[in-house]
Amino acid sequence: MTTLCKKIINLFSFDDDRKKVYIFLLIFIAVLIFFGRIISPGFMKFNHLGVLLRQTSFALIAAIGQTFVILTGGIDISIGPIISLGNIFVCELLARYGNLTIPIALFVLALGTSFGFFNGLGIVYFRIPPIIMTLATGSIVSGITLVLCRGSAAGYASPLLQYLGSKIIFSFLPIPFLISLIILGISMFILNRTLFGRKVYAIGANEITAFASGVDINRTKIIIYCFSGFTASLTGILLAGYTQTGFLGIGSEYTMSSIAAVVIGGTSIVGGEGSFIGTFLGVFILILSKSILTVLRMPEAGRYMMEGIIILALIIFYTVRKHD
Amino acid sequence: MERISKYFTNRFIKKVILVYTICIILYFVGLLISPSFRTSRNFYNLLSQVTPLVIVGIAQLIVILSGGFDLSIGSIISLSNVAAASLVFQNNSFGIFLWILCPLAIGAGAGLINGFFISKFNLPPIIVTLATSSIFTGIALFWMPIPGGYVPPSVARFITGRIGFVSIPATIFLGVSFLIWFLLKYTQLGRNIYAIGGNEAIAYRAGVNIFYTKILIFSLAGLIASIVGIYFAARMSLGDPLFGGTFVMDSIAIAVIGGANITGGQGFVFGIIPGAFIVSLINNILNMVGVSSFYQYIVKGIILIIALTISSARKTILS
Repeated sequence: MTTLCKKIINLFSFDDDRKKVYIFLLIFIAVLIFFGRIISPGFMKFNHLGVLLRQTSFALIAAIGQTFVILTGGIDISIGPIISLGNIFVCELLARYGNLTIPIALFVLALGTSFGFFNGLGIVYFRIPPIIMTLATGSIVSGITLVLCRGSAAGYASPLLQYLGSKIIFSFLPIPFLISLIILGISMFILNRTLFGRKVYAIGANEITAFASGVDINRTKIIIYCFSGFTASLTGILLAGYTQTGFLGIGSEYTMSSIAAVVIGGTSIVGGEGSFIGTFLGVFILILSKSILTVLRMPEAGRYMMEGIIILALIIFYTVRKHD
Repeated sequence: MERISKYFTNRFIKKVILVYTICIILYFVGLLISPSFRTSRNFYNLLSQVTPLVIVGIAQLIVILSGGFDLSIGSIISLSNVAAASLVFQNNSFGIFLWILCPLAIGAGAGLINGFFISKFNLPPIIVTLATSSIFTGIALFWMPIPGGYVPPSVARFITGRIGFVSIPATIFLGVSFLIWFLLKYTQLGRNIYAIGGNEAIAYRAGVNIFYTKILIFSLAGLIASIVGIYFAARMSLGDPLFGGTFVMDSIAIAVIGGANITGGQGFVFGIIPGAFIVSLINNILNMVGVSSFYQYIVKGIILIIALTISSARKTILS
């Protein structure tokens, strides 16, 4: 088992320090699974794995956009509202204009991307700090969502969306998980093997140095915020397929959980350091611990506290480790 | 005469004049377009709406002055709100004293936790307060899973009402503003807060105890935010564990509109009051004209972006 883990880690990682983080996270996951097995025999069996992976996929897609943003030293708080917007808009438009799934989905993706573009514009050209700009955009997006659905979500998801958002094949492999893996693969390729990825790391590490070495900071940042808007609206659309109807406030937990996943995955919150494998493991840790809390019949309050405590503990752990 | 003209060309003073002018113009717009705006009842209503905004704006201002953000302010409000609605003791003066003291202590304690993690491990305030906001919301939800609780009606009436023509909410926010103004201007702690926001490294070399000052800053912000929790417990006569969420954005918006610089070191208490009035006047006018409350989210976001654009337009850009 450990050799297999090492092989997998060797396949993706680039330096020793990251390996240590991955091994730490994998041990964390193993402990969680072990604990889950003790309290419930069916934990992580085939069927349960399918359900877990489906939940992972939604959070993962949102977290991929967030990883890009945090790598450049920013943060995107508007992810949650954009997810809700995608979710509500798809269902509402499907109900209004009939079964035009693909054009409507494309329109919603474009809408999410344009809000990301709006974020990017404010951050780059008006020099507004990312956290405040995305907070303001989040408020605007929530308002637009409420105006469109007049305060109560309605509509339905078409069969195609339901297939994409909730179908589990071979009883353990959900379609949304495949989609999220494709996006993960493309993002990893871009980050690790292209010039653009180097630019992202350079901006996060030191913006002034990056500027002095000729990185087009403005363009790179705008593209990144666009991508974050794109992934958020995609999450919303897939979630519509999962819940089969629009649901106000469905996105609100994803703002927090995407940041949590990125931080747990060892990405530095000030930028310049981190990886997608870490984010993936971070998302899985969050989903696993949430599932354990559900098995223990903890109320909603437990999830909030658990998420906060995990973020706080791991960010302290990473900071202390770095200073040593 | 020269001194006076110098006074008016000061950039800070210009900002204050601008904010107060916008505030007064908005008030006259309200007077013009809506007859129900002109009633005295609406005036007192406006004062009671503006009170929590001023107080939460001041709490956020203290943190912004030191160069950070407090994203947990909303959940501290929820937590103290829940505490105020469930910790009702006997209905005598000592019971009421305890009733006010407990939520305040809880708010200050929550702020203390923020400040401790931020200064002990030198972590960015944004991520720490994001994490603790989740924890505090969880605690509030554990304490009171659904809105409920009870506040003695006599106390509630006193806090939200008025004596003669003196509005009690207005007295509360003016009192808090004056105290914090004094603290920032005339005490060592106030100078230290500005110094840390201006440049932390220089403040450290000048002998400012950054560890304790940061803890004090966040505790103070928590303490002030919990006043809002108590106020709303009295106003709604109940506690709501998910109530404070919207205050994070409002507080940042008000501090920025009121002239605070988001990178720290600049800002003043008496800009917060017109800032809060601007936000609440816009809401009030939109309500009077009959615009759906859904549009208020959009308007708020746009106002925040405009205020930030104006305040950052003068700043030198990366060169």
